Amino acid sequence: MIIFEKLKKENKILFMLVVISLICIITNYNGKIDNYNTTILALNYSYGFTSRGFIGSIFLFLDKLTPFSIMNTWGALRFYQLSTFVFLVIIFIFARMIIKRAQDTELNLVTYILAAIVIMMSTTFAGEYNFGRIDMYMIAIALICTELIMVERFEWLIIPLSAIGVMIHQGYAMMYFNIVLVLLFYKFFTVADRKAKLKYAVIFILSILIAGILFLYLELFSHASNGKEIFDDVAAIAAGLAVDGTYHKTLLQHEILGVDLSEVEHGFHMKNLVEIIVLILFLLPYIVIAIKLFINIWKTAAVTICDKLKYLAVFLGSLTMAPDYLIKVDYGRWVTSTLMYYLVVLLVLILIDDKVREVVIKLVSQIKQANVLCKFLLVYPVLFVPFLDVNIDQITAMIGHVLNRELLGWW
Amino acid sequence: MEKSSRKDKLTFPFILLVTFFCMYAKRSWFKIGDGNISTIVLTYKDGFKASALIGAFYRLVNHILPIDMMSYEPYYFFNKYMCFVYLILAGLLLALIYKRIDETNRGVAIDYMILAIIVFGGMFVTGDTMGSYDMYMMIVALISMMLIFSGKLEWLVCILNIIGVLINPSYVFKIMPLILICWIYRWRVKGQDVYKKYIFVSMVLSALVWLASEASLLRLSQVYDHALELGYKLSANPENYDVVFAARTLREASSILPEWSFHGNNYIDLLVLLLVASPYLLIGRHAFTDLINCVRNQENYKVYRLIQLGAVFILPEFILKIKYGYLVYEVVIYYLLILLFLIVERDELVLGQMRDVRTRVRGKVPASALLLVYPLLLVPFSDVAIMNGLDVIARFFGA
Repeated sequence: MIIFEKLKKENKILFMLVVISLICIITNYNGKIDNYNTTILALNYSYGFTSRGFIGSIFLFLDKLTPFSIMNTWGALRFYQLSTFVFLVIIFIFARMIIKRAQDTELNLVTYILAAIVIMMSTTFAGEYNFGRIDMYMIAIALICTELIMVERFEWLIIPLSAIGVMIHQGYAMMYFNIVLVLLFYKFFTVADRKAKLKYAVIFILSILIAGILFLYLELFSHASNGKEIFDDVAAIAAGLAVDGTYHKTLLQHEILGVDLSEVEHGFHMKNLVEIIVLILFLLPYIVIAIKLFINIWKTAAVTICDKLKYLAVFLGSLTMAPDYLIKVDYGRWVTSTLMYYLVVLLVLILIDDKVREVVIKLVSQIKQANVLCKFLLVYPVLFVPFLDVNIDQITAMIGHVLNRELLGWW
Repeated sequence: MEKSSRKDKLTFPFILLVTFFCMYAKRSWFKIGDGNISTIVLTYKDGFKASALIGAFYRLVNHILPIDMMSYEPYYFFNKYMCFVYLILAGLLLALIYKRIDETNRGVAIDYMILAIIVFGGMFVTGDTMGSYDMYMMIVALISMMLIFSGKLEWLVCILNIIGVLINPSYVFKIMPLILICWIYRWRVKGQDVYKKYIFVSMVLSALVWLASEASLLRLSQVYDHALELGYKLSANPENYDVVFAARTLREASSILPEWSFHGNNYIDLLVLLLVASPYLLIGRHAFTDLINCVRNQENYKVYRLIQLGAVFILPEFILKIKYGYLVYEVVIYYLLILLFLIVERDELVLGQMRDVRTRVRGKVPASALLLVYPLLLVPFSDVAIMNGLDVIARFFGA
């Protein structure tokens, strides 16, 4: 503890976040990989430029590089352990960058937001449902892009990184790309220098173009033309990567054979509806605070047309998730990405936008003075992690299950 | 009553309700474990026996209700409802404490209240802890503490103590010290002599019941077969019912029959927990040391020393028994409830220390509210393992 006391404040915070992350991992990790996440490793570009083939291709490349085969359960586990470690390192690099830039007045506030991110990421991606889930690679890409925007160096890398994000999973275009786009949009309307404006405009447009083209191709045209011929081989590889020798049938049918999943997933939509309503009810205090924050920012900071546009983009940026919420069923992942969007964007704005910082600090101060019980608001959200996939989290899953059994009978 | 004060009094119970509900709901996808079937093995059918009260109560319910309780489903629901009773009582106790704390002291107390919510809500809500002797002992303890905090009908606590010992003799080590120390404080520091009688009556009666309970176990012989038979009826997976649980029935019914051959992971678990919980241990140690230094030359020095060391009475259980999850939970509950008790009693020395602690922690630990978030990552408590997640580390070290 004496060593802890002698650390600089920034290093103390980083140390605390690392310890919290370790505890989250230890209490959630059980070494199991869901067969969805092992099956994805079987998809790679040796069958053509297919969707979700990027990570599998890296796995295949590593298999060719190593003197021993990793195309087995052991290899899959080690690959995901290493990936998760790298993912967490990226989060902590991001955290360190934020902490170093924060002034004393907002240091505690940014620490709590960073803690929320660390806890959400560590619990969600260490748990069995999402260990190895490709969402963590997409989050890593988004965070790297955010760091580049904040340091204002090598920002052109955002273009290829956006392409990689979509190649990892075309869902990146809706889930985490919005963080990057909103920040680029914000910077465009904030910087005064014409050259800088042009730079952000070019990066924004090219990123959208490349991501958009890749998204459309991978979503509509990329399924293997010789799908029926290679299906059994891919299935065999996928089965070999899972401990129980199974593979995720619907994933392979969709990716290799181009089977439409809407009928299969239809039944889950009712579950999603009930669970999202339950979650909104439980998290209502934070939604109210968020709306109040947005209103205050709009009233205080949105003075010119440019200000209005950029803050509107910030408020509504998560609407890129709307197609996923309407069409797809992995609400646990959509909620994760919505929360990550607002937490990351808010963090960045606190550091780079004086007006937003003032509004946030003032609102937090009002909340603290209103009621001593408000401290509980810091603790309460931890109950709702880890996030899952179709089910949002364990609490909403249980409530949804009971409601359906006793009252609704919808699924 | 002012509007803000009225709103505040409604807000806290609402927070309790929602939080306990969430903590329960989060872990409700389980089957009840087999380890606590021993809680209902013993009854008073062939005379007085230790730890037979819950078994007798279960058979009474079986007799009254038109369903056969001697199978898994009714046993599961019985334990679930008793868990609800525990959570409701914990909520009522915390709401009562919050109501009794002066508004000027709420800022100091809130951190301990939040920790208490987390600790209470993080116990007996999983398959391996629901239905244990400790759950029923805590139900009795919560009622007792409500009477103590409200200062009403405290003579009933003497009877509740007996009931607690009848549930399991380890009640005298785990729960009674908290109750007695509260009374000793009111007797010696507050000068309320009526508590002398309560202390004396409680100690004598509980000691007699404890002796009778331990002695009754000396003449028990056929417990194993009966425990095995019941285990096969009540287990979620009868074909996998572990006979070790039946073998342990007698030892669990006693507070002094040793289980040290099963210690295994306990010590490593404990070391890991001490490491993980080190911030709280250090803060607590500094605070109590400063408090004791303040009262060193005063009349009530011994009372505060007793408060500081009150958890030591659980030590025999740490040596003889293996269910460290319950023991650690009871140590934490002791310190949280005794501190809240002293806040309610408006002990200026303790309040002063708590304000100092808060100032010091805020000065040395950035974003110090994370110290409230941290325990929520560690719960729930388990039974033999202290907490399931930390058990992973113990097993990593080959325990």
